[in-house]
Amino acid sequence: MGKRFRGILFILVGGFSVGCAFGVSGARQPAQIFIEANRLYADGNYKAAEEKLLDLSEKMPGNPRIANNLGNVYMKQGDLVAARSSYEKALEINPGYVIARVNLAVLSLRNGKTEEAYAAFLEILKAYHDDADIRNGLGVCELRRGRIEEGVNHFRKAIDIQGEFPLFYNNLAYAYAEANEYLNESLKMAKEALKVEPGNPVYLDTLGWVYFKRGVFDRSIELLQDALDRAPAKAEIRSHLVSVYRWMGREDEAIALIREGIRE
Amino acid sequence: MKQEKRKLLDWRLIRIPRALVRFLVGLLFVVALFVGLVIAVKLKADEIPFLARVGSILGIYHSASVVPEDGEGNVIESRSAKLIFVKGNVTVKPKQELRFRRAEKGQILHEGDSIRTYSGGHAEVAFDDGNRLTVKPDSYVVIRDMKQNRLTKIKKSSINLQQSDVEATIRRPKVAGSEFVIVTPTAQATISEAKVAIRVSKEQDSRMKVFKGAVALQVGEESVEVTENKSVVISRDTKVEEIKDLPPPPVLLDPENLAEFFFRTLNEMKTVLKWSPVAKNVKYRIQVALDPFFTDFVIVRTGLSESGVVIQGLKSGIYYWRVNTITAEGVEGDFADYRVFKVTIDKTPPDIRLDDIILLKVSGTLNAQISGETEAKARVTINGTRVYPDKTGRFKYMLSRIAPGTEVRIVAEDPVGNRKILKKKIEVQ
Repeated sequence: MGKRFRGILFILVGGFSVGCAFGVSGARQPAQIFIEANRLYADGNYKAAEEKLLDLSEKMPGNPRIANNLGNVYMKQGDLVAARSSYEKALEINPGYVIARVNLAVLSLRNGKTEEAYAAFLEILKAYHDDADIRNGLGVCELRRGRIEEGVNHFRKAIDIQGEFPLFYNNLAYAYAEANEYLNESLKMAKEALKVEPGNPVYLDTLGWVYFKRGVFDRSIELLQDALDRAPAKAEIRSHLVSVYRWMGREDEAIALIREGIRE
Repeated sequence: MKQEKRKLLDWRLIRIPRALVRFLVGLLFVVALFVGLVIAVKLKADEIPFLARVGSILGIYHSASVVPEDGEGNVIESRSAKLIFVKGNVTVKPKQELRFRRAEKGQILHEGDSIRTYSGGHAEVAFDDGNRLTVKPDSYVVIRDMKQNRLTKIKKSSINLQQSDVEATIRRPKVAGSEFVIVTPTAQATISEAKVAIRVSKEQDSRMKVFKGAVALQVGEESVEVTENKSVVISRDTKVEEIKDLPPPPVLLDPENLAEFFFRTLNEMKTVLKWSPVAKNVKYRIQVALDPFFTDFVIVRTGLSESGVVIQGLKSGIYYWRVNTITAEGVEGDFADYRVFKVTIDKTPPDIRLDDIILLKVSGTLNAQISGETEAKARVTINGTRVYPDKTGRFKYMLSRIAPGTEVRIVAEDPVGNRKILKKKIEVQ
């Protein structure tokens, strides 16, 4: 009798608990889903994050953060058209939403529209003087416009604002290398950035490029080759490695790399 | 009455032969003894991590990397450094050994290890916190301390110098309280961020130059702060004898970093290296070397009063150059950051590899597509018209309205002026 009673009680309590759990999960708050989507994004699970954000955007069409984060997810997946559309949607909902404006400017940079990005960053800078991301974006624009000194100033400012952040260190190191100035400093910063993200091909490329500028060619080739192996589609890395081979008079290897790039 | 639970497995049911038990215990003892012996003799944890681990599990190997500090309960970890460049006669003596052994690039250095360089010997040591030590010829350096507090992450390093000539670049520490100490027979320099050069003579007096940052110097009872661009001499009887200003390094102007020079012959090889003048009444020293550590010199000129020098007769190769300033009193400043240039002595004209000529008849006129490959940097002309090769050296050109038997003249000229001419008649079958 006692045993049977305990069994029935167990089933009742268990069933109740499971039911509660389902009930709770079924009525999950959008905020929780939003947090979960962000976590999925941070874990690199972009497809799942996209699905969650798309669901949310249907439930809360007037939320610019959802549209903006969806843009980030598309950006990570390489769908730049969808990313632009999402950022624009975020701005349509809230024209004063700065993060989406910065992201749009970054997108322009990625699309090679340097002047468009530059104008956008400058506009945002008027209102947000002490934003490290905007300074970093402006720095990249200035480098592309061939104004290395101005680029260096923006990266320095970004580091002043945000402190030790690998991306800014990397960018400043690259700017120094391009200017052929402060190459020892540049080397230190590039190493610091790489220490935080050891496999990052962009950082490997920067360090390799700085070593080239320092005349440490073997190490330069080693790092650039590693960067290229990790990101074979990055034309800039390939171009750096070609430059190093060419400078060293290793013409055959340079040409082989160029041809490999054309094939890819 | 308390009922005893029935065991799932009763060990009494399993019978292990006594001989097997004896054998296993004996084997365990032998392995433990062997591991203990191997480690005790000399091997380090990083050389045989597996054995070290086994040893530590068995409690035989007292790990050298973790040493509990005094009563405060802090755990102090040992750190390491690496020899990243070795040239000439350089030896290392590990702490537990008496014998110096030949140093090797990539060798890991531990606390208590000594580095000795002889005439022409040169070593670069990279510490795990980014600090760098250049050990010049005829030096004797002992790594006294290399520790980190596991909790606070404060790193402390110190080296002892006997007769030595060293340069140290100490980076700003990530954790406040970290420091690098250089101990000479007569002084102790505590550095948190600086670039310094220290020379301890045979007579045991020391000269310290602070190129960047500042150094807290303890000489006997006296404390002195040596600031940027100052030089200090400490006598063998532990007295600060003189503090002098160091001249700043000149800025290198010409040629640009990574400049390339092409010449047809060694006799033609001539170029000018220029830098910005620092002040009146100073002299300059220029060094041109085959390596970025400036150990393999090609040219060294001292006492130059002009801010430039003509160099000639350099063979094909990569060269590193730098300049420093010497005051009228003979005080030498730091070198400017070096630059690199390349010399190519090239007598060979560029090769031209021509593809089959493709003939095309368009509206009754005959056209010929000329394509081929040459050096990527070559200047190419086809029948007098400039053609631009791509990055791989490939070129393509359409000769239009030609008559059968027309001669195609392809000229490729490299940056030095070596020229190759290829002639081909267009034949129509």
